[in-house]
Amino acid sequence: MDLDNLLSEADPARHTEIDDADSHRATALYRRIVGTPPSRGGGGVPTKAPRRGAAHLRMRSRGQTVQMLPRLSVTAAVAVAVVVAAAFGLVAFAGGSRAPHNTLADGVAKPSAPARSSASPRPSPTRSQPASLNQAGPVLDALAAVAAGRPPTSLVPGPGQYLYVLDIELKGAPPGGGTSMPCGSVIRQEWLASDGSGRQVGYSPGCGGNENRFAQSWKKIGNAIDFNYLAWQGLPTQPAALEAAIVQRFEGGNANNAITFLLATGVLNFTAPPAVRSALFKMLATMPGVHYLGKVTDPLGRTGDTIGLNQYAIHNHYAKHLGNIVVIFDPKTSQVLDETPMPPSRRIHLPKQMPPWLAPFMYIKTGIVNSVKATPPGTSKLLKKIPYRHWV
Amino acid sequence: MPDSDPSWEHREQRFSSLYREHYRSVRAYAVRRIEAEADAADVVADVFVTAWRRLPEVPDPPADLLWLYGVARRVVAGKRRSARRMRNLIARLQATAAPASTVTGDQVTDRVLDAVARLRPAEREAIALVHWEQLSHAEAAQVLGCSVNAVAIRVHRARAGLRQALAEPEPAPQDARNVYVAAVSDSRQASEG
Repeated sequence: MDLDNLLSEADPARHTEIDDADSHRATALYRRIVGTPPSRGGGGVPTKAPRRGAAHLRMRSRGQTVQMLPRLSVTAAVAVAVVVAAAFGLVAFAGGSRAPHNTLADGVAKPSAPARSSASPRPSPTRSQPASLNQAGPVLDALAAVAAGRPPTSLVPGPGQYLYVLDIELKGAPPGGGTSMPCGSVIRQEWLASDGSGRQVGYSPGCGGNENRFAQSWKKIGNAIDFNYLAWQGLPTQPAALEAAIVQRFEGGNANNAITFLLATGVLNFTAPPAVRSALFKMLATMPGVHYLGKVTDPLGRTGDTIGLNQYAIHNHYAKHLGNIVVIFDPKTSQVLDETPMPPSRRIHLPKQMPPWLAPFMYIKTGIVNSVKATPPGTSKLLKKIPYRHWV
Repeated sequence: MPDSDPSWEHREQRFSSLYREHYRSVRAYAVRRIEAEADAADVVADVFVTAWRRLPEVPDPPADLLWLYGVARRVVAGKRRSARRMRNLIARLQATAAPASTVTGDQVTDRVLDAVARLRPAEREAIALVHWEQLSHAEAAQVLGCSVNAVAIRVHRARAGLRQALAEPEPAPQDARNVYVAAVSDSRQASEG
């Protein structure tokens, strides 16, 4: 028998039953991805599924990843979490393609969030109703004050413009394996236009002399990206009303702390006006389960205030899993610096210096540029400063 | 949100088509590289979640399958890192317990899998893509992010290595599938092209 035949005979897939896309398992997975509970409907991959908000999509993928955690080691969980971390930054683009601009006002009119604090907070640790604040309240109030004082910015690209995002996605090497950054971690630049077209270049250092660079671009595919999908401009600036609006708009009227937290943190640095961003921080300050984890320095040497939400549960029939999410904010600008999903645990333990193997998703720079190859001022210098060699 | 939102319908139709067309291929890819059934299923899930999330980036057919393989390759890499740690634990457990039930094939298949497992990771992935996923060298290069020449060289070396390994005297019997998975797990992703 020649080598080709031997290889064909030895193909592991020949000795395993490979199910079709119509199988029960494949159908269930499909529905989990697009947001349809598996307990409804019959077999087969549906051609149409109920739609949900962008945040729900993000939680779906997050929930799915969290679902794996009990089977994996902590390292594996961290590695898996990177996929989730990417969702934080990128679903804002990909998931935003189908959300309308103008549905938020309805949510404002019908606040249905469960009773969290409706007190009107003032950024002071000596407030008269300290019970309404969570443990991270004072820090979040301070961030709210910083956010309120920031100049308005918009990262919504107009015609001929692109949203530029420079980020680093660490993959999380095992803690016992030194500080090596495994192949697959990516320093990535993306240019995204609102018509759906864009370009991406990336670089994966640390691939054992086989450093991987990639570049791809794509044209408009009829699936325009709605950068305004959160409609920040129309959101209320009073924290309780803001929370009610978010719950109504994105959580189907049933408050889900995880989704609220993700909306309030993951997209903060994109398009929200200062008053709304400030209100988001105030809203977080009263949300149950939000903890302050102290000052933490990320692998890039950036130190910020770290907020965690632990034991978040995803409502629905199939995604009741617990997990933690940690976000580092720059105290000077209130912008999010890093997002790091963590495996489930009762307490989140973070070292003062976040090691690369914790696999944070690090935001480096964002901006609006006029060409698909242009970068905001100072980006080249910034790229040179990235100490990726230390992670190799 | 209006039910007739065309962008949503377009998005889901596209994903549905992608899923129907390539679910089996992605699943086979995972099964070829991940032994644990649950982990292989997780790989498939991760790949399609990524595809759904980044649908605008998924190229049109036939390059869409290559894009999925590229995602799968990275997802599998993450699994292997954890598998390596898990394997150490299992090895310790097996020292004091009866061997776990294993997947065994016939002797020839075992020898081939054993030989494939002993290839260098980059060569192993190249020959797997070409022979098992049945990609052309150009397509494999796209998945691996390297040149067509590099794929050709890796495949050539892999075939030479396999011929040499299969010409050697038969080693002591062992479960080749386990050797294959262990070797795959041990491979530093850093050396995967």
